Amino acid sequence: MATYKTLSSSLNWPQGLPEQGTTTVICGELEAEGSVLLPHFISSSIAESVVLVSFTQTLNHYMHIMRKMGVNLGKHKFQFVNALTRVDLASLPPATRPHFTVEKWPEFFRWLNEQPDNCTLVVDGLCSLLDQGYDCDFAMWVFDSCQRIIEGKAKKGAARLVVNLFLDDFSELLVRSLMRRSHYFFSFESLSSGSSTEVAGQLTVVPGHLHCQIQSDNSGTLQTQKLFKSVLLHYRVSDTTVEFFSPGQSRMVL
Amino acid sequence: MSSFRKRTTATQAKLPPATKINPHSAQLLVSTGVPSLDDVLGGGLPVGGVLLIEEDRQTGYSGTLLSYFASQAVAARHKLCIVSADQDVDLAAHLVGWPGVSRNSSGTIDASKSKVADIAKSEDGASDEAMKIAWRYQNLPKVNSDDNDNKDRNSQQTTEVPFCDRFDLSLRVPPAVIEKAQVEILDSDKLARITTSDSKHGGDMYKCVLDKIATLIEGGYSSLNALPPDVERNILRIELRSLGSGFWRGDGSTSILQFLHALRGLLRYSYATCVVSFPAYLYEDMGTRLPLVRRVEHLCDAVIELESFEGGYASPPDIVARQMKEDADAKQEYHGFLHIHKLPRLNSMTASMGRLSLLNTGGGSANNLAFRLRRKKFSIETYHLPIEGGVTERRVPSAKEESKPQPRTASAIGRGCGSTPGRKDPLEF
Repeated sequence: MATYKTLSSSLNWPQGLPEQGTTTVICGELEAEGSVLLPHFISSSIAESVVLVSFTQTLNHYMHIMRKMGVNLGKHKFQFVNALTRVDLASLPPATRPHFTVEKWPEFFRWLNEQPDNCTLVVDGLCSLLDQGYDCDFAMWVFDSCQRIIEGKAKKGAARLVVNLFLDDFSELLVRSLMRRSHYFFSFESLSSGSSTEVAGQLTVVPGHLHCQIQSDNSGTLQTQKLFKSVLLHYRVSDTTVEFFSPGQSRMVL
Repeated sequence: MSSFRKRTTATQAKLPPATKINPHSAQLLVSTGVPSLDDVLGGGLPVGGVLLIEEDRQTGYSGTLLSYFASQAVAARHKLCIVSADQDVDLAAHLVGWPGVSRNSSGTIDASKSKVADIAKSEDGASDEAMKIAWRYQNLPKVNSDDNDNKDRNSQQTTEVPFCDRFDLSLRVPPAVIEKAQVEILDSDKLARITTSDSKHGGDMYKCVLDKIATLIEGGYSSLNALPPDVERNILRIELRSLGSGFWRGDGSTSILQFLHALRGLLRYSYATCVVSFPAYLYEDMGTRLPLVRRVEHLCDAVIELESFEGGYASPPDIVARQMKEDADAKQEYHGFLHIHKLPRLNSMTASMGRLSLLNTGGGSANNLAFRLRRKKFSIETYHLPIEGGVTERRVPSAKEESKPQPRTASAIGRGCGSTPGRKDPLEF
C-alpha cells in the first residue's frame, strides 16, 4: 500500500489517517500541487470505503496513479463522482465510468447519504466552483453540506472529509473560510529558498480552528497520546510515492 | 514450424496517425511541430489536454509556434480548427512548409502519396532479399539505413505518418495541399455572425465558440462514441489565438475561466488537443499580473511563456537604437527565454519530462532554456552565456605589432608545440 510513512509518523497518525469525523483541507499552488497527497488518503482508507468527487480530472487519471502505487481501485469499495463535465458518460466502459455525475447538488447529497457510514469523502478541486461562475458562498454551502453529512456518518462509523483546492487571490476567501471549518490544514508551497531538483516543495501542516474539539474529545486519553504539533516538511514526488523529509534531510544529501 | 510467434504491432489496437503513446503514463501524444518543444513537454502534447502559450508583448514568436502546430496538423492529416477573434486567418501565409511538400511543387500529389510509394518500394526490396535472410526474421520490421527519411518512416511504421515532420520556415504550403486539408476557420467575421445570430447565450463569444467546439468533437472525435469499423480514428487540433484579448466579448471578467473549465471537460473525453495563446500582458496592473492570469494557468494542463529579449522593456527609442546598430540580429544567438510554468501531468503524478527530456532534466532549479528563431527553424535550446570576447573575433596580433622586430629569435618559440616559426597566425599549422 502506498501510504506515505514518513508523513504519518511525523503527524503521529498510526493508520496514516486523521481521527474519524474530522475535516482535512489541503491547499496547493501552481508549482506545488496539493493533489499529490490525495493518493495517500485514498490508499489508507481504501480498505473501508472511499468516495472521490473530482472537479478536475477523470477516473482514468486516478486509476493510473493508484495502479502505479499498487492499488487497484476496481477491486475495492471505491465510488467516483464526476463534477468536471456534464457530458453524458453512459457509453463509457464500466471500469472507467463514473459512479455518479453531479448535475444538481441536492441529488448528490441524497446519494452521499446512502453511502456506507465508514466512508472517506475526498473532494479534489473545490475551487473549480468559482471558475464555473459560482460565488464563495455557494462553494461554502457545498462544503458545509458535505461536512454535515460526514459528521452524521461519523457518529456511526469512521467517516472523514478531505478537501483539496488551489490557493490564489481568487480563492483566498474560500481557503480562509475553510480553514476555520477544518481540523487539519495542509499547505503546499514551492520552496521558499528557491527551487531545486531534489526537492519539489514544502508542506506545512497546522491544526485548523476546529482542532481543539478533538483535544477536548480525547481529554481522557491525552496522557497516552502525543499532542499534535505543527510540522514543516520538504517533499519530493516520484511516480509511486511522495517522500517527505525534514528540511535538509533529503536522501540525496545524506 | 514453431507455434510461437512474436507479437507484432499488427495485433495491437491501431493508433491514430502521427501519434504515440507515452510509456510512463499510457497517454496518447501528438506533436506540436517543434521537436524541441515536444521534448520539453515530455514527448509531445497530450491528447485531451490544453497547452497555454503566454504571448510576448511586442513580438510574435507565439504566432510562430501556432504556425508549427497548424502545419503539423496539415502534414499529419489531422482535423484543424482555428479560432481567431482578432484578425482574419490566411492559411497560405500561416502554414509552414516541409520538404515533402516542396518536392512536388505542381501540387498535384501530396506528401502521403510519395510516402505510399516509398513504403511500396521498401516492400519490393524485402521480397527480393527474402532468400538471403533467415526465415525466422522475416516478420520482424526491417531496418533500412539508406537515408534519414527512410529511417524515420521505419521507426513510425505503425502510424505510417511521421510523428513530427521537419518543417522549414522558408517554405510555404502549396494551395492544392491547403484545399485538401481538413481545416475549420472561425475568424472575426464568422464569429461576429455566430454571436449576432445566437439567441441562446446572449452574444457571449466564449460560449458560442465552446458550442462550436462541442459540435466538432461530436462529429467523430469523441472518445465516448465508437466509430464505424471502416472509419479510422483521427485527431482534432484546436488553435485558439489570443484568447481573452479585447476582441473576445464575454459575459463578465470570469467568462474565460468558465470557458477553460468547460473546454477541459470536453477535451478529456475526446481525441482532441488544444493550443491557446494568451496575451498575459493585457492582464497587468502597474507591472504586476492580475490574479486572473494565475487562475487561467491553473485551468490549463501545460503552460509555457516566451519572453523575448527585445520585447521585454523596450521603449520606442530603444527599438530604434537597436535597429540602428549594425548587424544586431545576426550576432544575437538567442531571441528570448522560454519559461515553463506547468508541465502536463495527465494520468501521472510527475511530469514525464524529467525522464524523457534531453534538454532539461526536470526540477525547476534553473531556468536555462532559451529559444532561437533562425531563417528556417524555430528551436529551443539550453541557454549558455556567450564566450567572452565573442566567437567571431580571433586573438590574432594586428599587422602593426607583427611588423615590429621580435625580441626573441624564432627558434626559441619554435620549440613549443604546434606553431611553426615565421607564420603569421600562431594557431595556424
